[in-house]
Amino acid sequence: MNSDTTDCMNGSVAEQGVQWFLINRDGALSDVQRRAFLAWLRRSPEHVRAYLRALDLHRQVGEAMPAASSDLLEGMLAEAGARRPTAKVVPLFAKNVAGNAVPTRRGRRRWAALAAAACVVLVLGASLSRLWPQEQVLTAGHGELRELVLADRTQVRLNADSAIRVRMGWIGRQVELLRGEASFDVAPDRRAFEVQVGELRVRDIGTVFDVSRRLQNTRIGVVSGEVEVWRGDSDQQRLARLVAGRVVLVDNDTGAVQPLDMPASMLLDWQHRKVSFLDERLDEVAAAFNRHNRVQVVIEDDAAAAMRLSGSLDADRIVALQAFLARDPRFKVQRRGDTVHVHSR
Amino acid sequence: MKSARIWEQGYELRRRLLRGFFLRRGSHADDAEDLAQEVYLRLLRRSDDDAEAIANPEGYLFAVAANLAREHARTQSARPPLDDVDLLAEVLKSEEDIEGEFEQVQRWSDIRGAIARLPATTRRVMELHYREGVECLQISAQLDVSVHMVRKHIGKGLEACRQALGTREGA
Repeated sequence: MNSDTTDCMNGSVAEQGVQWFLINRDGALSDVQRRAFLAWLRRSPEHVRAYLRALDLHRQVGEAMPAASSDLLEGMLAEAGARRPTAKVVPLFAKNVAGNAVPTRRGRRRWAALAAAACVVLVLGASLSRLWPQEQVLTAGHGELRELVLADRTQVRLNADSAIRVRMGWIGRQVELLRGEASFDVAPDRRAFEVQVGELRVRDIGTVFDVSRRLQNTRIGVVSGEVEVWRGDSDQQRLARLVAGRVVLVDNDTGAVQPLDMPASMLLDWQHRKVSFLDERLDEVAAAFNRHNRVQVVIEDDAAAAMRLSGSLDADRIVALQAFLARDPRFKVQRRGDTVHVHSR
Repeated sequence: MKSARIWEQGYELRRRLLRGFFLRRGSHADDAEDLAQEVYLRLLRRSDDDAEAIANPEGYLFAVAANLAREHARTQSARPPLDDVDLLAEVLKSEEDIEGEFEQVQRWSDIRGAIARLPATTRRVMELHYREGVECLQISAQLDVSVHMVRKHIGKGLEACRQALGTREGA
């Protein structure tokens, strides 16, 4: 039965949904399979949807095929090339992520600048470049997601409306998150890798992690490996050591660390242009959507800003967010032109 | 066969519930989307060692979905809370009326067409399963292929149907 479970991991999410559905219908899942199925469901809303769709499809096909002699159809031909490849789940930091790869005009200019800079570096000689810390500010514009590879081969993904300053020095690799959110897949190197957010420093020990600079706090989630969170410049204080799967909020003022009960993988939903929020303040939710859209969500009062909600929506579907909020009896929602105003009731 | 039995018991409710999920159109489309998202988020909120979820993940999934639909029906229509499952099923059943008879006939025809175009073995498996009601295990014995392969064939058949339906809906 284990081979079934393994095979379910192949194919598109829709196909996996159908396979899990059929295994469930045959009854008697082993313990391993039950856990694997639950884990599969929890991977993304798309997995849940795929499973529900499989059920719906099964029902429809059952209705469409009334009991009759199957011999009638026997011998009917028409070989169909009906199968076409469908979308697969993109693994974290997959090498080819369609959609993110399209360079914008700004991106191209930047690459041209980088190329020019590279030529200068060649002229000056490699040794000098190693000694001289290089500083770069990299940004993703409003509504733009960017994927970058730093000089040390660390992969960075920038959420929309985000910026980092990168300093590759002789002894250390430093990135400052100036605004927004970024994920890092840190390349192994003898130099330490550190992400600075205001007074906070996140030190990596060979890791994939996500850092988000937010209104009231900084959110840090570790997908794999381990990081340490430090605060302060001169009198440094270690706030936390986070292993894979841990997500925390660090208060901007007090440095208080609050663990969050959410999967770290959910933090990376923005890379697929999804905004996912679990028991989140409305002002943070609005800020997350506003990065991606021309239409801006404005929270009009503190009571509304502090209310918490959960959801997961495509980042560009402001209409869906509006419907989502309008359905919630705590809010009053009005759209005027390019602004969605949200009040508490 | 415990989960199979649970499956049968809850089937009618699930059937209606799912029509609710997937039939909503127009202004309700976003709501339906939200429901699917919320099912997911509630699944996430449960800890990994949640005994109920692990004992019967599928049953658990539908329990979550049913709860949500119940809450949803309540907030949408300002009706009194629905405590009993039959009443819930009634509410959801009204969703089915959204789809006209014509659309249903079209869907059935699309599905039959897709199955007729399948490769011979896959088609045979689909017919045995959906027309004759033969379970995967029996099909496996009858056609002398592994149960795993039977499921693969059904998966392939359902995928073809899904694509045929998707083309019509312009999805």
